[in-house]
Amino acid sequence: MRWWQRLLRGDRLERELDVELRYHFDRQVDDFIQSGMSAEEARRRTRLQFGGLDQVKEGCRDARGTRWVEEALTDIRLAVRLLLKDRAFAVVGVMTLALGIGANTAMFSVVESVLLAPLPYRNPERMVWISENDVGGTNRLATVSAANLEAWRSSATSLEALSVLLTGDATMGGDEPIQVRVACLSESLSRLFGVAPVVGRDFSPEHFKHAPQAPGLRASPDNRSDTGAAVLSDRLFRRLGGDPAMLGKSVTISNVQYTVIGVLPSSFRLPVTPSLQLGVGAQTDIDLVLNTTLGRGTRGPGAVLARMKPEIEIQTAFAELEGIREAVNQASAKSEASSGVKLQVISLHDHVVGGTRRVLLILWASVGFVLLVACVNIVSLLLARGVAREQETAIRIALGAGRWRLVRQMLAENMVLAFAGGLAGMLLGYAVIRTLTHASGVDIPRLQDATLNGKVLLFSAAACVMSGILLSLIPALRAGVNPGGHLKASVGTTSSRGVRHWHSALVVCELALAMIPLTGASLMLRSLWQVQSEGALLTPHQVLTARIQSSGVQGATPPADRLRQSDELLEQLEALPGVRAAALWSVTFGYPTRIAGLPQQEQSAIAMWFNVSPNYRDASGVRLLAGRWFADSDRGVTPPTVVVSERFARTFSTDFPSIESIIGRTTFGPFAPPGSSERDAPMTIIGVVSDFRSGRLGILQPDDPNALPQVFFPDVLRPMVAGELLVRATASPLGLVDSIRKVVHSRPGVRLMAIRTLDDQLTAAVAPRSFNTLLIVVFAGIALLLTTVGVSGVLRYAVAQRTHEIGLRLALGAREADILRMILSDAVVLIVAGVAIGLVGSAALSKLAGGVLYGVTPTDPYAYTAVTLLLVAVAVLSAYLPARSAMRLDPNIALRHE
Amino acid sequence: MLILRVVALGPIHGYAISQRIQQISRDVLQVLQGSLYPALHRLENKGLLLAEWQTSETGRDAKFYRLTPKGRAQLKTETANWARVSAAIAMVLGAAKGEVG
Repeated sequence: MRWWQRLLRGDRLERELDVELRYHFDRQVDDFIQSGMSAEEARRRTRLQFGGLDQVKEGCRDARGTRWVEEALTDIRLAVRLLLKDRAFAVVGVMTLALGIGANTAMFSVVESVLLAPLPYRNPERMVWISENDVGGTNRLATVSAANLEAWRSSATSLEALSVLLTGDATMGGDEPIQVRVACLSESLSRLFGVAPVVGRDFSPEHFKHAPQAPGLRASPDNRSDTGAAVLSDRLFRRLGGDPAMLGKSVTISNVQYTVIGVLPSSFRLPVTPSLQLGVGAQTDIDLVLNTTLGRGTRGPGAVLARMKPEIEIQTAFAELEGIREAVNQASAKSEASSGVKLQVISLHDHVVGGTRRVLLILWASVGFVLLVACVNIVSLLLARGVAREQETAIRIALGAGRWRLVRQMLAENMVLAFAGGLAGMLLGYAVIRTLTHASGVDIPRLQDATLNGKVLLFSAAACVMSGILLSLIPALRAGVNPGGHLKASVGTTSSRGVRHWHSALVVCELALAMIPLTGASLMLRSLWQVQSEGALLTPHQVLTARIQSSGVQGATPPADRLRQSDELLEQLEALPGVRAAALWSVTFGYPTRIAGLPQQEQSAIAMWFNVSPNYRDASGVRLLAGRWFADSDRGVTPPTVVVSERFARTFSTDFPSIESIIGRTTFGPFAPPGSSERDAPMTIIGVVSDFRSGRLGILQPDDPNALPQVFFPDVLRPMVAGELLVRATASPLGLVDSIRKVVHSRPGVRLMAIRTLDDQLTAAVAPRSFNTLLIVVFAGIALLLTTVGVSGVLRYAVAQRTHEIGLRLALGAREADILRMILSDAVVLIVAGVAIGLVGSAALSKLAGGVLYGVTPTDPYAYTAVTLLLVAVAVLSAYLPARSAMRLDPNIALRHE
Repeated sequence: MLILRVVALGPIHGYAISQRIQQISRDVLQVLQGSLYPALHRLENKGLLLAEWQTSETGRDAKFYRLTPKGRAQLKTETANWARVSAAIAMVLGAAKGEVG
């Protein structure tokens, strides 16, 4: 019989053993009787010979070799019975653990899918992101030049495949235009990603010879508009009907036709950060991949994706690409203000997840602390429970139980609790994961892939086991200490002192631990508040934003006509009752800008150039800080006038004492005004306004510390028929939506889309930060709640232990207030100690949070003060209630209490 | 080893084993129940003995043990070892006696 068979047949083996030994016993007795002894004598002799029957049985049981398993099973069964009996404790314990383990499971699932899991391409570790950024180094300002791209493609030996990556939002035309997220590549999917479409086919080299220009960029001689091909994402494919007959039909993206040639697998992900051009979307995944050619001599917003050859290291690739780029620069002999532009080559994985790594790790750490706090809570409960069972333990020791045996039993109890909590926690975690993956306004890439997979379950199980062990540590240390004392009658004198020390230590520990997520939450809240209040626009809830889409090609209409059209449209809108101002704006991509009269080397920064109609200032609500806004007299003047943003003035203000002094300076714009052929046209700065925040501009996230400087130029320089519309109303603008739409649609070839209030747009832009802050606040709240429960529980227990003493004092004449003071002062000492340690710990750890906070240092005094006050207040309050019940004790009853 | 040897003579139950060892050794060796039965069970678990319930000579059911081929091999090995060890001890004692005597 194998040992596990013996395990299962335990009962039967016991019976057999009994029969076998009994047989021997009886035979021996019979023999003795036959040899002449009396029955009694025979029995006595035999019994002596046998020794203890039970000892023999024990020996046989040992021989069976299944003892430890049987004992473990017994322990578990006993543990379950005990927990069921003490239902209150069990429920509290399980729920507390479920909270801690569930939150950790959910966070780990997110961390696993976002940070740890490899990207869904072939050999993803070989993919790199190549970009040229300004010296600020923010990836979002990446630009790519056609010259470099071509040079790299032809001469780089460390790369296997190379493609431009231009991304952004565009409108997919039709009766009901929809917003889609597109990525434009100049290489086939299988060569670049190692992924092939599941339906249809991939791009072929022919597709990239003269492909259309990317949406939003100007056409160059290398582009043709009839060679467009598109591969749909699985999601878009289903949204459009999921019919394979779609292949070969064409879709219209930003007025260019693209033939649908294939559909991507549903597991394909190309997470993209918003480009310089357009929108912050809640989802970060693309809907379409289009082919494109970057026209010779152009520089577009975007980056380069490449696949390195096997065995090549990133540094090698970087060195080679940098060398080629320098050669190109020297050959072109153009001082492109490129001194401010640096090459960056990083692994694609780092680029995709890098921005969120800090935040996620901070969230995960917070949730880890919550679990620790939960464990500390339960340990206090266990200690209290342990004291009640001390007599039982002492009797067991007296009967011969080894200390190790006792510890094992305690471990079994705690493991049962931990696993029950863990199971509940896993369910809770699953629910939380479902909520997270369906949450909107979250910009964490690959979040939708978070599930309860094998790795996550394993982590959950590990968390359970760790918790179980943690829970058992202190009780195990105390087990079996001084059993003699426990056997004496009065429970609660010898043991309570030891327990009290432990309990004090636990309260201090708990407060210190809870302090950390609380501090984190407070800092994040301050950050969020800072983000939302800085550079605030004037009453954004009164402003309506929308996108104006033109079906004509922008270049087809002469500029004068375009200007007239936009003027007419705005006039009509402003004539509507309830409208105060209307304006049109659009943005050119980032352009390295400099100021005349400054040393070349330092003073170029990439700025966003905004094309604005005259009433833009009134409509948007930017505040004039110095100088003046455009006037009608500026409409034809040379050199043309521009207005800059506050950040622009400050960027160059290291040379200037204040922002006023930038007025009158000359800057150089990214285009040639009508009548001139220079690209670097000089323009005079006439005013400074506050920075324009908009949910539409990816890189102008309100919380981006590297947010770009802005320059506003009048639309006469480049008249627009399409762009972003701003309408400021005297009251809520939503009632005007219909009339606005009617006005816009009455004009030929124009449609209105994506209508929202500016307020909503701004909220959406901050949504990712708000979401992260919300999460951390929730975790901190849980920690605070657990701490409250813990502190009050410990104090209630301490009061219960000292009931006799309190009764004595009351009887001897102490006033109620004295009792209250006595209890509270003990508690306050602990609270102060705990909070102090927590403060030190938080300050030390918060250095790590640096990159995530905006406008707030990691040791911000307001945040810390607020949190300290909060925690002390809460802790004192939870101590107050038990203390109050202490002082209300009736001395008669208290004195008789044991 | 002794148990194995006794069982080798045929299927036998625990009581009979203890009686026989006592008999054969002429009362020199007495196996106590406290060590006999754990040993029997250990040998059974190791696969050296096979046990089955049969009717004994008294009419009641008893657990009879039998030697398995594995047990037979083990017995042979152990007996050989014992012979070797005891011969060696005898030689040492003999030599010592010679010197002393």
